[in-house]
Amino acid sequence: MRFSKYFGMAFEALVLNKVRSALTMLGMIIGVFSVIVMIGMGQGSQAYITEQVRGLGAGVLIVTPGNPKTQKSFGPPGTTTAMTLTLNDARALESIPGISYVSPNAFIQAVLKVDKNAVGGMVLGTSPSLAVARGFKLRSGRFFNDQEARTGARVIVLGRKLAQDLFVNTLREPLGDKVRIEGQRFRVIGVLEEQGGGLFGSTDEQAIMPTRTFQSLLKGGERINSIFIKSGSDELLPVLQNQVSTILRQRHAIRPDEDSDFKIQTQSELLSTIGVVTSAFTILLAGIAAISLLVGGIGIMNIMLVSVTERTREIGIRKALGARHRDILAQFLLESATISLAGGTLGILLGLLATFSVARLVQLPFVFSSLAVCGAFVFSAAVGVFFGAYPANQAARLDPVDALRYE
Amino acid sequence: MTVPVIALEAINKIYGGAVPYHALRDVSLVVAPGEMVAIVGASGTGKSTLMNVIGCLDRPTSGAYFLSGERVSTLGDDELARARNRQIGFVFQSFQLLARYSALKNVALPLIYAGVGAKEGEARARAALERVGLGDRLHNRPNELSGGQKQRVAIARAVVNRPSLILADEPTGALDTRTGEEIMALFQDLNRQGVTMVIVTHEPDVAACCGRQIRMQDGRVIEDVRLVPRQAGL
Repeated sequence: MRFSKYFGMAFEALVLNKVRSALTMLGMIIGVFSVIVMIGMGQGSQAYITEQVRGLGAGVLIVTPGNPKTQKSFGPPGTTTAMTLTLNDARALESIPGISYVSPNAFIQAVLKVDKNAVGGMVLGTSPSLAVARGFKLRSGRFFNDQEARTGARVIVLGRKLAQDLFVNTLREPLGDKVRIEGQRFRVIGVLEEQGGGLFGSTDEQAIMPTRTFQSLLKGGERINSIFIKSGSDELLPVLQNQVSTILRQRHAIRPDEDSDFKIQTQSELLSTIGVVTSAFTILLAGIAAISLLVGGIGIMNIMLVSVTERTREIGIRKALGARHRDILAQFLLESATISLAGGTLGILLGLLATFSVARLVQLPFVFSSLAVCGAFVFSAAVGVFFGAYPANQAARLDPVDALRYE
Repeated sequence: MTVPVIALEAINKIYGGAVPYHALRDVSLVVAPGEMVAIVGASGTGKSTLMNVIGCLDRPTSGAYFLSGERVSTLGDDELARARNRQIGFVFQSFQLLARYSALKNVALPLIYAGVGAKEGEARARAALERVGLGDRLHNRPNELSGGQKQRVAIARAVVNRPSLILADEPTGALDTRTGEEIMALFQDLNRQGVTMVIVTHEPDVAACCGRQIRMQDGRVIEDVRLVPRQAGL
């Protein structure tokens, strides 16, 4: 007996119970869907972070607070909670010869004011090159240039929502208008394109200014999130790393036998750290999603057991007409495999669609993982066979005399 | 001498349980090719058990059973399935057709398990249905057919794989007298074409159509008579 005939039989039986088959399939669809989406989002955000770090260019060192031995950095630089780096640390590093810039990165929560209108927002200090690397897009106006960055010009670029909230009474773009932060006045030179909710917070509610300008908002001992140090090339990095370490250890008064309270990473080290963390995160999410796949499998087993009981007489007839143990086994196994494969395929398609749409919405790169797709396909087939095996075996073991008599 | 289709030697069937039940006691029976045999008796006399043993649906507790010369009483499940598929055509009282299949597909079912290709299977099923007079009902499902037509489909299914034996269990039990007569006429017709028949029945009219009647009581054969069969049909 040929495979195509078994398959035809399986298909007929499934079409006969359309609603039941569809509902059983739904379990698989949801399971595979969530696995695909979780893996897709995980890989998408990994690609996003990688892209951003790569954008910094070659010869970059990243100093982040925290003891490298006792603490792992999750996510992008600057999101760790222990704040041991200060602005003065960054200033001290500027004296090292052979570096093009030291960029302290810091966020502060501040109240921005226009006349009597006050709005809370995140103020971020950065440099023009970093702005390019982070892929900020302008809606109107311009970004600050190198000269403004050097001189600490009192200019500011506003996120879209922040600009709207601050300048509620005007329809034109607020270029050239003044914004007050902690009593200081800044000139608006640009408004960012609306970005929607990003993975690490939206830029819509941020205000960006040159680091030097930003420093005027901070006191000398103010804590900062991270320091980017850029030198000419990657070859200088080991030497530079030592120099940075020596200066910072001195400033933090760390004895030679003590661990540092900061961490210096090169771009590639940071990338691999991020890789490890986001992979673990992706696997965790996919694992949780896989549980729903398991539930889908149990649904298949349940419905197949019902089906076997319902079709006891059919099994009796088939056996009387010459069906062997393996014929009945194959028939029912193929039925459950068809349900799970059809559900799995639909789940893959819907999952890819959802991943693609969400990636578009939050502006993450869409990563097509053929491994995840193939894995989900094979796994759903395996679920069908595994959870179909017990019911199919029950069917195949029925005694023909009893089965024929079954009412 | 030709090889008998059925040769039972001292068959016993005992059902286990708290109180073992002796369903067949030392049944010996030989049926030659081309015979048409009725197995009669009241209910509970072992008719159905004997039919299950002859039909290779059940194994005897002791004794030997040769089907067309092959010892089947000691075969495994899969070999028994093969014996049923190749050698026996079943006709049941309640038709036992698959409701979701057309007449044609129902008849072709044994051929699937015989490994016959789809094309040839369909041609043979069609021929079998024409042989029982249902050439115009190929694509009807069982619920679109009358009782007599359903039983004809079942008979077509029984003959489609050219078995050496047709085993019918109360084939007219669910039919009115007139339709029952038609079915018996069809059986006699098939028998004249050389098909060996064993019919389990409790209806004297049906038994009278067979050239040989075997009477069961308490699990034993108590009577085995040959007489001139009545011609079925009105």
